[in-house]
Amino acid sequence: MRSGLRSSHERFLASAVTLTFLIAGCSGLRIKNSMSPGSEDWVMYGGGPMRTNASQTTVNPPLRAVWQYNAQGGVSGTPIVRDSVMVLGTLHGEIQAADVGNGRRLGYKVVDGAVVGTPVLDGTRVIFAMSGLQESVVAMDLRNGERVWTYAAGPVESAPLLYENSVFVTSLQGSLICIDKFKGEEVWKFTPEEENESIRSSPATDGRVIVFGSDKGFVYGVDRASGEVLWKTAAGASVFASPIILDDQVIVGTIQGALLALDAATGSQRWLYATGSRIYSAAAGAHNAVYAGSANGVLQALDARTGALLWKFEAGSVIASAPLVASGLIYVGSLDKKLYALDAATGKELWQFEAEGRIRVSPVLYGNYLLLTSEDRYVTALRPESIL
Amino acid sequence: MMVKRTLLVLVLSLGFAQLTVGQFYYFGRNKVQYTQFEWQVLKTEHFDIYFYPEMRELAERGAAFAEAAYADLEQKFNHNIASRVPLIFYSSHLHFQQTNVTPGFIPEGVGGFFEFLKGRVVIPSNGSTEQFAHVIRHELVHVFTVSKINRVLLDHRQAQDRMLPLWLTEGVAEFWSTKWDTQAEMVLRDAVLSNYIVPLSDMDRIYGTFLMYKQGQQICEFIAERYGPEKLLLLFENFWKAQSFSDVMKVTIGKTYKEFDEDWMYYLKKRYYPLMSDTDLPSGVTRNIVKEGFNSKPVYFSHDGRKELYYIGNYTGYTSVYRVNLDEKDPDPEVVIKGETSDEFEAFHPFQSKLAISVNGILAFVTKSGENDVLHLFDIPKNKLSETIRFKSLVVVGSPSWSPDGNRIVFSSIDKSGNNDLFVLDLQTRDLIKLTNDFYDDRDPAWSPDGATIAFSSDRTPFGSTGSYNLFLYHFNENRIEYLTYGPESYLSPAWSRDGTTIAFTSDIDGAQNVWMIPYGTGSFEDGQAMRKITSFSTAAFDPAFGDDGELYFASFEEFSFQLKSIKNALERFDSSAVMKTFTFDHDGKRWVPPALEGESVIGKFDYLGDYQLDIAQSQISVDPIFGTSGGAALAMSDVLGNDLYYFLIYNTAQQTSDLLESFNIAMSRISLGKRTNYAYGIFHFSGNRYDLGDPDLFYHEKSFGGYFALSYPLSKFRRLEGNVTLSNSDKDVYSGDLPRRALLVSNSLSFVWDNSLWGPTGPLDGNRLKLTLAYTSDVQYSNVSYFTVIADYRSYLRLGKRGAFASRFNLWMNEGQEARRFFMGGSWDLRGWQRWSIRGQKLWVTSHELRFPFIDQLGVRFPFGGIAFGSIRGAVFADFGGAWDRKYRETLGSLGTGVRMNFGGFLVLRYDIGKRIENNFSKLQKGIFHQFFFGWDF
Repeated sequence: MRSGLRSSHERFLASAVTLTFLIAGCSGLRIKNSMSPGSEDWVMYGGGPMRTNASQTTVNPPLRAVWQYNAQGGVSGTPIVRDSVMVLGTLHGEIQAADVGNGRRLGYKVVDGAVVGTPVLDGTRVIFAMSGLQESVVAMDLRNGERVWTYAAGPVESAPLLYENSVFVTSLQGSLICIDKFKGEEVWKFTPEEENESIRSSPATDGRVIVFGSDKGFVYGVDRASGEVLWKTAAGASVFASPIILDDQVIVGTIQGALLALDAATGSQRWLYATGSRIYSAAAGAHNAVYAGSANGVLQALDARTGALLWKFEAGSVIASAPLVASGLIYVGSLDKKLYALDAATGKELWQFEAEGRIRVSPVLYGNYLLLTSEDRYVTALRPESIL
Repeated sequence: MMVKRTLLVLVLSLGFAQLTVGQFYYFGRNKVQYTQFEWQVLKTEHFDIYFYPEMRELAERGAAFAEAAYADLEQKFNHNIASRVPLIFYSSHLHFQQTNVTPGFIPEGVGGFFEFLKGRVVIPSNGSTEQFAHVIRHELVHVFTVSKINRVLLDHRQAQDRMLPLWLTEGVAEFWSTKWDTQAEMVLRDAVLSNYIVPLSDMDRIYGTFLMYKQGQQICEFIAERYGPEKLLLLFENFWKAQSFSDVMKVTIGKTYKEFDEDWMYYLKKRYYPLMSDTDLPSGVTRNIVKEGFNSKPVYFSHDGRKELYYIGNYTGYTSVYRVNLDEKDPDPEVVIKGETSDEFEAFHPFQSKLAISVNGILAFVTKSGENDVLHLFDIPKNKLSETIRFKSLVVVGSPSWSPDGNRIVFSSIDKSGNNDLFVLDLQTRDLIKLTNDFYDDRDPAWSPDGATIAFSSDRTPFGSTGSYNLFLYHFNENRIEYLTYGPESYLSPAWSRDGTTIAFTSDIDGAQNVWMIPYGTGSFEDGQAMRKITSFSTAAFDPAFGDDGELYFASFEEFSFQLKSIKNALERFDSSAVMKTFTFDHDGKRWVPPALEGESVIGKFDYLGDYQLDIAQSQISVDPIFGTSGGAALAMSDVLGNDLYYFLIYNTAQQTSDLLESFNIAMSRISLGKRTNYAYGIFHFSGNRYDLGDPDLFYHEKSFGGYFALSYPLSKFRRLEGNVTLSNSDKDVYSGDLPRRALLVSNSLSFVWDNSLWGPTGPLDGNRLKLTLAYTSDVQYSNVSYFTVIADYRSYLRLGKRGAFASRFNLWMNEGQEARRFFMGGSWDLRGWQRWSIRGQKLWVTSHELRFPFIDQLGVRFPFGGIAFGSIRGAVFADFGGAWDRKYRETLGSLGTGVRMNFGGFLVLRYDIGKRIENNFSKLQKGIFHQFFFGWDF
């Protein structure tokens, strides 16, 4: 029996094997057995099926960074959080989990493609969609990192929508697909008539109608139960941004800068506000007000009923992400690296924070943590100074 | 003229490196820093703008354009630039040519560039405010493109090792910086109607050409129109998705290159083929006067019963003034002034500055000569240059026009402010009068036959803000400017008929630039004179000039070249033309004023004191079986203007710990390029094993330290003096057992270099190159070394036709004295066929003679999975002779042979030679034939 490794060759092999195990260990994704739901959870893009980007939580500035998480790659979707576990997908193809309390990584799982849109949490499962491959929609059990099901939707660059027992996904191949969240089977599929009508706008729902925009410049309302198209409205230009549903209205912006309010039942236009720039991101809405950022760096607050301008705020660069409404405050990030806190009633700037890099992902709130994603691959947790 | 001037303003961003960078190289032309710029910095929200005080107003306008472009582009790209962008402005192209931001020469047609090592943008003005704004926008698109693509790759954790295809990079830069104009339309119309349009799938065939730029712009227009404007942004954002850009196209617009070509080609045919029912290609309806090369700016002159046309042409690579005899059917062009080979006629501005001939037969033309442009007067009857006029305060001079009595000349000129104004020079009194004095771009003056009026083109109407030029009349007696045309189109190049009753000019009012005429002297233009169309070309006409028999001469664009044409009875055509337009002058005296950032809009202005950044930082470890292991690092840094460069090199050759301290090799150099006299100095300490190429048996260890100082003074673009002094303490230990040699060496050298050669794809084809060096090396402490050096190297290239040449080289290298070093030769550089560096001696001569000729223009191989094409394969037949010796001459060796050369990628030449070696004083052919492969340019 050998007492040791005698040659450098053997030592090298041993090191390589050890390293392989270490790497394999790191890539595992194992979180605790249950993820208890809570009222402060932020489990999908926009905070809920209507994507209003509104939170009931109160987090008053000034805020101070308490930890910073390095995702090791670009992140274009917002973090989602439940039971103090933060989950996010990365553009280099990983689903990662971290502890919101301290920012420490709980694990990660390498997946097959770039996760462009925000994943959605369903119990201990994360459902996410990927770009660049056919088998693109995946439900994964966060307790063991194993895939529960996979659905071939083609490349997807939007955020899946979870409502009751269904997952709704829009694809670059131009379909809205309803998938059974338990089995991963297709319930129905709606494909607009327009040829090559890519869809990168994430779907939203009020429970009755699923709404989304398309690259060809239409906004669709599709019956949630049957998949039948209820209405189709020409927006005048491509729609990259996701619609939100505020009360009985669909609010969505176009690449040519028009912010439209449509009747959620009929699709008829109620008002249009021309921002004079491009709209790449979703709006936010609460208490009869709509807050929409545009590429000229302007955040405009509008009366949700009339589309009348309430106030404007000008950031230092493009606003490429949806603002966040939280208890009388608006948090909005810009490519100028700054997160601004504004008075929702007046638009007055109350506070600002300079991030590591450009902000092109909406901030989310969980408890008294504000999770801010910024280039280059960071999520920063901010908490009110008053409680630190 | 605007359109013509911008035709070759290829806003190249990358890689226009020249072959002939001057300073500190063996041969090469010189980039002369004639002008002492007092640089200042204007800081705006996103830019550091470098300018000199004379052009302050231009810089402030540029600052406004840059900030406006930035605001627009960050929205289009959904991206911003993380760091401040250095913008370096020059007020003229001649100043721009002196920049050290890039080491290469800047050709006449380059309108600006983006250098992405340090993210610097360098832009000159050419007198046109709108064009200045356009180039700023264009280059900033490049800045955003590079940053966006890097961001996309970084986000997906992909290596930043690839770039977008050039057709898209340049196409989108044009698409997002300017409108689809007459010039772009001209190129595309011609490409489709003359059947040389290149499909996207085959775009590599025209890589880097102006045609590719314009096709790229058209493709971007087409993508935006057919598939949606947002697709251009998505092409950037999807760049990470595939290695092949054809596949990126597929995932973005649903079409691969080949599928896209089907749509695009069909669209182009539908768009342009109908033009042929109403318009003509110039060659079909005109007299062809000159058919080859690129030709422009015709001017008619008759004397001694001869009718001649003088013009600026380029047949061989050098731009010159030519003339043809119009009485001949197919006249051969004759060189009148050979340009671009001498200090006097250093460079023409072939698409900017016209020629003029006085009533006495004095040809006035402009060239660059030294720091600025000069006005030359050439006496045609005497066939000699009568005068060269230099102006102290004028930088760029353009388009002279004679007064009818031949005593005065009007011309346009740009001074250091960057404004282009009109001047009149009285040749008798030498008075220089400035006719206009504002930022409007006043150009193409034409003196009327009665001497009372000067017609000119200018962007001074409100339409000038979008780049439109109109025609004006300056009335001398009243000191008044009158509108001749008024509209959002462009009206250029006015020319008077001989009797002064009609003015011909070009206009793009109907979508293509054609010749139009308008009567003069029959009433006020503002009362509604009608202009009438004279030509109806589908492509373009330029520079009309009247003959004395009613014939109208002009340049036209067809088959992607500019040729000279004429039409007869121009005045009769005017009378019969049914296409006319009457102007409505509703200007109310309004003019336009461009925005400028000044006062509170800028962060501040500062004198430039040097802003140094790292260029290269690299470490390396190398292992060599003879020289052992060495490790080290190199650093290079320079200032933002590229005027001061610092190099640091450190490495260690120690083979054991005890040698560590004494085995450090350190060199530090500073090179200063900011002034006309370039200089470099540095210190060094070298220690290690050496192998003397001059003596194959000499393997030794040497420890040396010292310093050097070198300078280079350019006498002109073509000639320079070089000097060098080196002081070196050398401690040499030869391994063959000789005693150690210590010396304190002082080396001095002085050289004269002359180079006006013109290069083809594999080497020089025209001109001359000469280098003469005298040097002396001595050991001032121990007297161990003392020798002098003479080097004479002359190369001559006799042009044979367009692409052939007979090249000759005469070299003499000589070291004489104590411990004189040996030179060596053999191999593809000099004595071909002989073993590389096998012939050594303290004296050496070699002469080579080579016939260079085109061999294969294109060689294509098509495989089932794709094709590959090789172009410009050249042939050569050569003979080399030479000998080397120390004390006594040994023998003359030589070789005879033939070979082929091929250029790869513009910077690498593969040569293959076969031949016979000759020995014994050129009396005996060796047995067998030699074969040699080599990568390197022809001598």
